[in-house]
Amino acid sequence: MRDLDLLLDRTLDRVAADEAEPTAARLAEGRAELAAALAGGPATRKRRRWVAVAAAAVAVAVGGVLVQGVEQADTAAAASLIRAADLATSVTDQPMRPDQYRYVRSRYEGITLVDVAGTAAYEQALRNEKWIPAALDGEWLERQVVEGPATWLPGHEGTGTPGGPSNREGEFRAPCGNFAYFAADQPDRCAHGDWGNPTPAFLASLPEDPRALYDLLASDRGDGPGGVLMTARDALMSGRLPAAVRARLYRALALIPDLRVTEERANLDGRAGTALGVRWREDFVEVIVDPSNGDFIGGREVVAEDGGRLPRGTVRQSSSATTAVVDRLGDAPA
Amino acid sequence: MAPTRPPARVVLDEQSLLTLYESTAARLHRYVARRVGADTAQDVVSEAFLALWEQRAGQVFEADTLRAWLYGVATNLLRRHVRSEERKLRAWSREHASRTDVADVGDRATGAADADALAGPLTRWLTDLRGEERDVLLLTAWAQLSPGEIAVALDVPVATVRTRLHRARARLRTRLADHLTDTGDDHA
Repeated sequence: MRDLDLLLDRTLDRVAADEAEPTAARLAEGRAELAAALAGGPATRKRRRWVAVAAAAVAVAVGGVLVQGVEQADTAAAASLIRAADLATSVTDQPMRPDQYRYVRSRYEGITLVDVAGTAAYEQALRNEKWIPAALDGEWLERQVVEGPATWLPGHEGTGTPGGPSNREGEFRAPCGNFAYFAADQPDRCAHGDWGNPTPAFLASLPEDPRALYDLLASDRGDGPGGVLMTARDALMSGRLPAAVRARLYRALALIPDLRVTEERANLDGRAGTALGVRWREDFVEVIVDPSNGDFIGGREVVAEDGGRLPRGTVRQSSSATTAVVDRLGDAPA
Repeated sequence: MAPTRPPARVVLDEQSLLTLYESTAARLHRYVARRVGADTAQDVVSEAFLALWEQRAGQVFEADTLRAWLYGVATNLLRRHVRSEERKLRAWSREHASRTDVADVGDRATGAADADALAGPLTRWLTDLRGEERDVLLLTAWAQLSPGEIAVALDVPVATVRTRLHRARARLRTRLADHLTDTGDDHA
């Protein structure tokens, strides 16, 4: 029963979660409309009348806000474009022979909400390792382990032992990475590519132009500027983006409105890189890139709003990523 | 637990409504957009603030109550859009019927594949719930209101909120269990 409740909560959390966020400009406009409506007459007046007053007054009230917003965004965007373009010029590939494997190791520490109300939540760390053959239809290997026991988040203690078995823990082997933990009826991952599973055919289909790539990232997820970064993160986490595609991706990410670039951001392993960050839903999310070679080295999600399930400033997730090329399935890199 | 000090009381004037807009509009928009889509959400959110003003301007309230009222007003406005809500949910359900991707590990980790695969069917089942049960369920799950806040929002006793939530969840659990049995998965 508890499992069903948990599954219900998690699934509810996903339904229609990809609706576009209101932009800062739209919110400023809404506030200006409201202020204009409030100034337009006493509270006893009919609503329809207020809306009409609001519509007339908004053009003036909003003008200033928008102009100011655009100027600030232009300056910040110019700086971030230059910085992200720097990242794009530094990318390098790790050459791989047809008989070798790409090794992708990711570590995560994060907070899992037990129920949608967020009354109970626990902290847990995971390590995930993948070996991906150069020929994708060969055998893949994935190992995931929980690092240390899960602990209740202070102030969000639930009952019993936190955590519990996941269908993704353990060792999995399968051609094409069609692992047993995927839900039934999934498309063959050799034949069907997407951002999280960037097959050669999927990569070849991506536009060359950074603006067109940005538009595709935006439309595929439909979750605002934050969604663009999260989709890019999915692709980067795969460890399978060639240098040329990563370069284009960083140029596309530079086009995110209000992108914040932070130097010397540490990943979960303490390794520092350049972080590209933006608001996404109630969080500020970042991808961290090694500026010396353009490698994706991790990410962070920090709660950025008051009044939610977790206090503002809480690190919801921190991760690290490493890639290498190895000769045999299951080999750790030298 | 008893509050250590009496809750702040405020008069709903222009400034407090604008302050409420600044702190709550984005969150309310997100909730409404998940129910009826982002385009309609803009109108519903604007109208909710104006309707709240129309209904409550000049009244004295406890600060926590105001947010609940706002969600109550928005929920009432959503009832006018019930057909477009159901259309939207069905369309979303079709679009996500087969989409699954487990790229994310950590926060959204355990059972991510299952939850993604089930999001499509669950969306369909939401449209089968009674409107009042769906309101309580989604005010809890998507707006993250407590039963007490929902009781204020909808002007019903807390016990009624709990009953509706219990019924909605029981119906969805049953559909979920049936679905998992049909697809040969065992979570119960």
